[in-house]
Amino acid sequence: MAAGLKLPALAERPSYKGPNVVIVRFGGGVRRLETIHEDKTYSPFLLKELTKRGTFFPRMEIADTEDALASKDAKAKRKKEHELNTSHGEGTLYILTGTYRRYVDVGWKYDHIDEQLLGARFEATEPTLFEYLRRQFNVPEHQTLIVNGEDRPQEEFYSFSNHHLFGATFKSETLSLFRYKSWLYQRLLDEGKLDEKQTRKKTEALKTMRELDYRIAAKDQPKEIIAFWENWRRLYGDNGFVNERGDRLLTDLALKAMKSLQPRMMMINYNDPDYVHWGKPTHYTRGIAIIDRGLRFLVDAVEADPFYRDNTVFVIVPDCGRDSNPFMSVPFQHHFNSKSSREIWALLIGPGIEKGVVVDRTVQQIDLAKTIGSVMGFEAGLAEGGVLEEAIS
Amino acid sequence: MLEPAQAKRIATPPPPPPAGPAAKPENMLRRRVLRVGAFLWKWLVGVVFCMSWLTAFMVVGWTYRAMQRSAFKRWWKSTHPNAPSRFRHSEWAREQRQSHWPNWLLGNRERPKGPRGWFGGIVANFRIGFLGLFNTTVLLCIPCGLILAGWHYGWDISFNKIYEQSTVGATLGFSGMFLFVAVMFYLPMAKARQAVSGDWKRFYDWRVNRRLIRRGTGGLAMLALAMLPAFVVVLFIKNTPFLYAYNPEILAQTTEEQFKILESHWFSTGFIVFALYLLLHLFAAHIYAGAMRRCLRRGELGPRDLAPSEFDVLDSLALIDGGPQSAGSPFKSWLLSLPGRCVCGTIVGLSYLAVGVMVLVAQFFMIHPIQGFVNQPLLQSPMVSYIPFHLSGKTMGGVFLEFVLATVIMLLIGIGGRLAKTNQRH
Repeated sequence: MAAGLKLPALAERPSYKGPNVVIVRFGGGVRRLETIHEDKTYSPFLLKELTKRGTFFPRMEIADTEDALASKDAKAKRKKEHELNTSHGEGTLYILTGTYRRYVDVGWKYDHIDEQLLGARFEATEPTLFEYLRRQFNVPEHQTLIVNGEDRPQEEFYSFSNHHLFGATFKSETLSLFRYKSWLYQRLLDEGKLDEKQTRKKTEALKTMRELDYRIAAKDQPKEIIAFWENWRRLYGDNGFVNERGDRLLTDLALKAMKSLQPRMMMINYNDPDYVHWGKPTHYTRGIAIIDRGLRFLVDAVEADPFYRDNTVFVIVPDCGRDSNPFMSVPFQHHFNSKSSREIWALLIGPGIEKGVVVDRTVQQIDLAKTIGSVMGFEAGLAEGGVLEEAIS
Repeated sequence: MLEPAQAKRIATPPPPPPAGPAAKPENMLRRRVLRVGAFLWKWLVGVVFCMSWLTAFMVVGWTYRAMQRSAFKRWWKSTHPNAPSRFRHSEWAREQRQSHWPNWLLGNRERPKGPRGWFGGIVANFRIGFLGLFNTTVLLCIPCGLILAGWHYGWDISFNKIYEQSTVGATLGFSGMFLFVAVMFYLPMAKARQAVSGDWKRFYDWRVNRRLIRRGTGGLAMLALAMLPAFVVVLFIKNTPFLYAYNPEILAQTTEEQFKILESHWFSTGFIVFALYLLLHLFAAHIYAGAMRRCLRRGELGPRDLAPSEFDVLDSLALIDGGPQSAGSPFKSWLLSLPGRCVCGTIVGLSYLAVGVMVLVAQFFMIHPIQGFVNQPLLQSPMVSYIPFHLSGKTMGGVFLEFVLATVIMLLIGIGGRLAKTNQRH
C-alpha cells in the first residue's frame, strides 16, 4: 500500500479543525469574456469585489499540457487536446479528483445498466476531495455536501469514486430536488394518504429515480439530511412550485445547509448558463448574473455566521469554458472541446489565502485538488496537479 | 370564368413538326458548348442572387418561370411522343416563348425591342418572385411563427423552471408543427399552379388545387420523400461553420478575413442549395402537369376551372379533355385509388413532420435566430447567406429595409405596368 494511503481505523480519525471550504462551480460552462473581462462582465460582484479579497488565477486551463506542448505537430497537438472533454461532469471531476480523465457513462461500462444517450453518469476512478477529507478526518457524511440542480440527476454520481481505498465509505451527501423527491415520494407512500392513481404514479417515479442512481438506491439518507428535508417540506410543501427555481434554488439549498448541517466542505454546482445550448444568449448572461448574485448571498451568509466567519475558504471556478466561434450567430452556443472552452479562471478567498494577488501564469484546473488539500490539511495523494503556491500565505 | 371566345376547341391535335435539315457536326458542337456555357452562367447567376434577401426574389421568380417551361414541356411531349425534334426546337415552344430556359436579366429571345426587351428578365423574375414568395409566406408565416414562439417560450420556461406553464411552449410548438405539415399538403401544388398559370390568384384556388392534389398524391409523396435527403444536405451545409471552432488558424484571422471565409463558404455551397431548390420545384411542376391532365381527362376539371393562360396552353395542345389516355400501370391505378391516396398522404405527412423535426435539431447544433425558423431555403426564399451580423455589419433593421425595398420595387413595377397598358390603349 502506498505511503500516506494507509487506511486508518475510523474511530482513530482526528476531528477536523481546519477551515471550511465552499467550492463554487461557476458553471455550466462560462467564458472568460462574460465573467472576468473588465468591460463585458456579467458577474460584477465576483470580478470587482471578490477578486480583491483573494488570489485570482485568470489563466487557468483545462489541458493536458505536457504532452500537448511537447508535440511539435499542430495536428497531433490538437488531437491530444481534444482527447480531454470539456463539459460539466468532466469539469466537476477534474476539480474534485485533481486528475484529467476521459469518462464514459456507466451505461456503456456495465452490461446490467441501461445506456443513456449523452449520459454523464461518471464514476471517478480516483478519490474525490470529500473522500480524502473524510478518510483523513472524522467528518460525518452530512457535513460533506454536493448541491446539485434539479434537472441534473447524473451529478448524483459525483459523490464518491470507485477507488478501492476510498469509495462509498467516505462518500459525500447530495442535496438536490432529485434527492428531496426520492425522500418525499417514499414518505408520501409510507403515509398512505395518496389515492390509487397517485400511488401508482409516485411508485413509478420512485422506481425511475432509483434506476437513475443505482448506487445508493437502497441506502437511507443520514438522519440529519432527513431532518433537513423535513424542514424543507415544512417550508415549501410537496408540489415543487413554491421553492426557488434554477440556480437560485442551489443558493437557497446551500444557505439552509450552512445553517442546519454546517458542512465542512460543500460544492455548489451552478449550471444554468448552459441553457444557451438552445440558442438564447440571454439565458447565458442571465445565468451568470444569477450565479454572481448567489455568490453575494453566500459570502454574506458566511460573514454573518460565527461557524463560518473568518474560517471559510471559497474556491470559485468554472467547470469549463465555452466556444468562441465567430462564424455562429451565438458564438458561445456550445462548449465542445474548442480552445476557448478550455480557458477558465479560478479565485480563492479566505483565511490562509493571499489577498489581492493576481497570478498571471497558466495553471491547470486539476491543480485545485492538491491546493484544497493543502488548505484543509490532507494529502490528495492520487491527484496529479500541483499546489497553487501563490495562493497559500 | 372563361369568355365565350376563349372556349373554342381545336378538333384535332396539331401535326408533328417537320424534321429540319441535318446540322453539321461542328455546328452541333458549337451549339452544345454554348448551351453548356449558358447553363453554367445561369447557374452561377442564380447562386449569386441567392446571397441576399433582395436578389433572392429574382431566384424565386426565375424558378417559377422554369417551372412553367417544365410543365409546358411535359404537356407538349405527351402530345408529341414521337416528335423527331426536341421541345426547344418546336414551333409551339417558340410561340409560347418557352424555347429556352428563362433569362435572368434580359427578356426572352423572342423579346420585343427596346427597354422592355432589355430588362424584361429582371422585371419578370422580380415580379413573379415577389408574388410567389408573398403567397408562400401567407401560408407558412403562422406555422413557422408558432414554432419560433414555441422554441423561445419553451426554453424560457425551462430556464426559469416555470413548469406551471410548461404546456404553453409545447402547445405552441406542436401547433406550429401540425400546421406546417398541414400546409405542406397544399403548398407544393399551389406553388406549381401559380408558377405554371402565371396567375398569383390561382394559388388560392382551393377547390381546383385540392383536386389536383388528389390526382397528384403519388407524385407529391415522392416529392416529400425527396425533401428528406435534400433537407439533410441543406441543414448540414447550414451547420458546417460550427466546425470552424476547431481550426485555430481560422479563428486567428481578422474579422474581415473571417467574413470572407464565411462568404465564400455560403457561395460555394450555394451551388448545391440552388440546384436542390430548382430540382425540387421543377419536380413539383412536373407533378402538377400530370395531375392537371388526369383531372381534365376524368372530367373533374373543365375549361371553366382553368386560368385563361392555362386554357390557352392546354387548348393549343388539344389537352382540354386531357388528351389521349396513356398506358397506365396497376401501380399507378392503385396510387389514384383511395387506399393509395391514404398511403401517399401518410408518407407526405410523416415526411414533412421529419423535415420539421430536422430543422429543430439543426437549430440546436447551430442556431440561426429567427431566419432558421421562419425561412427554409428549399421551401421559401432560397437566400443562403447566413453570415452573423457581428461579421457582416448588417442589422435586423437592414434586413427589414431589404424587404421594404423589395416591396417598393414591386409597387414601381406594378405602376410601370399600368402606365404601359394605358399608353398602349391610347
